Amino acid sequence: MTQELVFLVTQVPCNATTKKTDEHLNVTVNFTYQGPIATARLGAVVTQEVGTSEFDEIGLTRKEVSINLPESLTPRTLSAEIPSLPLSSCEPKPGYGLKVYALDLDGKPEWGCKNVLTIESLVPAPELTVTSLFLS
Amino acid sequence: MVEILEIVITKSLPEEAVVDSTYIIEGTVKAFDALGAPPWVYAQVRRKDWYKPEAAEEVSYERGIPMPVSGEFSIGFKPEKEGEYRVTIIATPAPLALPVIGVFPTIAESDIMKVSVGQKPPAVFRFSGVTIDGNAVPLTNHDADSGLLLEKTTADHLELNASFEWVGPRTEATISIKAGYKDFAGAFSPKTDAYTRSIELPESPVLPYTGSLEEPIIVPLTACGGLTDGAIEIVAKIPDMGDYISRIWNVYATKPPVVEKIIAVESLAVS
Repeated sequence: MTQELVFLVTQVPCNATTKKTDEHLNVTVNFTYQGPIATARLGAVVTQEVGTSEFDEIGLTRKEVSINLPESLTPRTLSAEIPSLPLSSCEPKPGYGLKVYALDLDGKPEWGCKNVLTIESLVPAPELTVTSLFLS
Repeated sequence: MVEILEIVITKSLPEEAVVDSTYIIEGTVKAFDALGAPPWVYAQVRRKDWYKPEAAEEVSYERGIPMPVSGEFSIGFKPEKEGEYRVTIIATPAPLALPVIGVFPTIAESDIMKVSVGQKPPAVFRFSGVTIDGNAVPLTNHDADSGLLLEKTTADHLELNASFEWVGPRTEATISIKAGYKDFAGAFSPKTDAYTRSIELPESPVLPYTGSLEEPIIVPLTACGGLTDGAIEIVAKIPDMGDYISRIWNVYATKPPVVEKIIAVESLAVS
């Protein structure tokens, strides 16, 4: 697996999905942990590309959970759920990204992925379909 | 002189000695025939200064009483002046108090023991090593970095023993140990009181006496929490001498080492 560091955000793989603005986004974080037993926070936030900022956060979508990390002398694979990120503040459009971060550990590491979320409007987009023509 | 006895020296005097120290001459005196109880024996001590003629030598006697059957005897020799001594064990039937003008008649004589007596060297003490929880740390200088960093808690203790070398007169001393740490200035900073043992240093005028504590000193670490560089200080207090102090660094740690917490996200899944 190749990881790319973009503006101190480590890019990681993620599937793409489409949501409506009244729906919520559930994030599953697959990670490894090495160290003593600890309690930390894991956060997720929807991002968008704005100018040179590839991971501009949409603050109202932020959600954090507390996780218990077991002691491990070697990297141990774990996963955590960050459920129900609200998407109502997102404009309907494609190209949203996602960023996750860890708190209460050494520093604030961040990981992200771009172009994984499309937001659709609740109101269907105006659509005109010509079904037939009549000449007179 | 016709000798009817045989004097055998089993513990002779050293060739070099120092003033005011006692040296023991041991031996046996036996009759060639059954002549009854062995007679008195004396150590005839003759001393002269190197620049004086033979006639100017001083002669003194130290008496020994042989055991009735075995004939074993021991005589103490304690020179009070520097000089060249010649000591001879002689036997006589004369039941005299310590004679001042000689022993007569002499019926047996040992070989001459030549002893060069000089001034006492100054008393010297040094710690030669310390054992910490079974780990030997040699001390070639006053201080040493043990590098042990034994993992301890405040419920634990250190079991310490010290070995030492001593040259000097018989005396009593104390050995005290404190536990502490190395402060920012590089000096020892104590965290415990001194735990002390008394020791007896035997007379050892020339050759260094090597000894150690009969039982280890136990130093509880109750007051030594949160240390990453625990150290100990060992002090020997000897009368009429300055304290001999040794410090051993990096002996124990009561604070767990900092363990890095590493988290790495491998992938995300959204739904």
